[in-house]
Amino acid sequence: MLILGIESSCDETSVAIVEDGRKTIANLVLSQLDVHRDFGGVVPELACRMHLEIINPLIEQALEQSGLKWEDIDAIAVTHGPGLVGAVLIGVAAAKALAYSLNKPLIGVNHLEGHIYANHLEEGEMAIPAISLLVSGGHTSLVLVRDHGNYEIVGETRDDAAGEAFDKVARMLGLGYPGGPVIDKTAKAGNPDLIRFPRAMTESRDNFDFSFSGLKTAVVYYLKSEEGKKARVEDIAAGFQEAAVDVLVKKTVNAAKKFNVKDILLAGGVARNSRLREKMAEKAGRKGIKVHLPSPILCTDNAAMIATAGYFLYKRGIVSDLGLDALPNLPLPQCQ
Amino acid sequence: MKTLTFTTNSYNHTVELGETIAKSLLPGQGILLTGDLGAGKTTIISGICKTLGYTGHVKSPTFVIAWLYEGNHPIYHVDLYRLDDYCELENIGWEEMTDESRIYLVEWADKFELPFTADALKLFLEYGDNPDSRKITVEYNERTYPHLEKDLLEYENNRN
Repeated sequence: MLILGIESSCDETSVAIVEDGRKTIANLVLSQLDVHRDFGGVVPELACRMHLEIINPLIEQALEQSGLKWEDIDAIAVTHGPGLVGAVLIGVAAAKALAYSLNKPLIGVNHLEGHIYANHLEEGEMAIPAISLLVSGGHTSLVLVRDHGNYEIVGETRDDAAGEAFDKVARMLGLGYPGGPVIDKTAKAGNPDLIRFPRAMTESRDNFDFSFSGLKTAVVYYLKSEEGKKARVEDIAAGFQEAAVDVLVKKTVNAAKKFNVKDILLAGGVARNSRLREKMAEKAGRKGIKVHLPSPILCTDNAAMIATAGYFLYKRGIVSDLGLDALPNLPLPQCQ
Repeated sequence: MKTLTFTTNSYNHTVELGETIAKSLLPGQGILLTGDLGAGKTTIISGICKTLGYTGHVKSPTFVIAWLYEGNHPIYHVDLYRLDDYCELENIGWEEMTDESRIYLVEWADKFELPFTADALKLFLEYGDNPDSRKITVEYNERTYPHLEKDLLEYENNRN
């Protein structure tokens, strides 16, 4: 079964074609950051969030690249939330138009559920039950994956997402954008144990919520201090990254133990961080828990994961009608 | 334009100042917040939202650009940090966010000129002398917010 997936919930516009929820035939991702470059910077309006102008050429390109014809596509899956309503709406409208004109099923997919399915795409099978750490610029959540379509958010950030803290600290340190990769790289030349930043909300083993706002503010005040003015940027980056990673790893491993699962699924843009990948594998490994790490392109927003999640919804008989709405606050499907 | 300046000395003090300011807010109005990283913009917004009837977590909208909270009226919590030009916000639906049925709260509001905000109240947040202290300046039109000064002075007096 061939599913064409569409994702446009935030910065990335992406179109993918996936076979049976496993095999990626095409996965095209265009980030707002790349728009200027791809269009040669000639169209000034492209500085805006222009999913609208990109989406149709991207759909055609995906089909062309895969060597498929329209009639080969069996269903259309699309992110309908959560996300920025104006952005989500563009993907939803494109998907509805395709489903209607091709007379194929339309499947509305939750963006966060899509991230969890990135693991399935990579490994051909998803470990269930599992704890998924979904960590990006906009989200930081620990999700208990009981079964396909059966999730429980056991913890989430109270303020800033982890990826946002990376970006803002990178800016304070004058390291540029995007902050995640640049902190990761800079920290490699620093000593992670030299400067100790606070690890928020780690007193209790049963509290799986996060807070990264205090860590960001701690870096602000450290930089203003006499010690901070003399410190090496590499050591500050390493100290900050270590504090953020420590909290993410500790809470994820604790959650896996508490809910008695043997698998951890990483998802989201921050899952690309090398220190997080390394430390999660090490700490979880010691407890006999396996960590599943999607490749970098599947960590950040992409439509292949949406097509895969859509495949599993379809298999369970869940499809949408043409009244499908963009829902900015769409929650993960939960069952108790 | 009238300005009032307060010095808060704890996280809770900053939140409560937000709760007090929000008593004056009506649908169609909003708050424009300016202040450096970690100056307390999201913190004071959590207090503002409490008074406006939203009791859930107030999270930073830096990446998602806007969160919609269901309070007594719909509340848009917007962040211009990652935007460079008004057209980006226009595409997201700024005109709808500021219509007369909603309340808007905007972080990094000084990044570019924002239309439809003539009735907005402005908050400027700065670091205080220690990590828990913040200097908060409120700038507003007395005709639009006739009870604000009294509410704020009453709150501060009751604290002391």
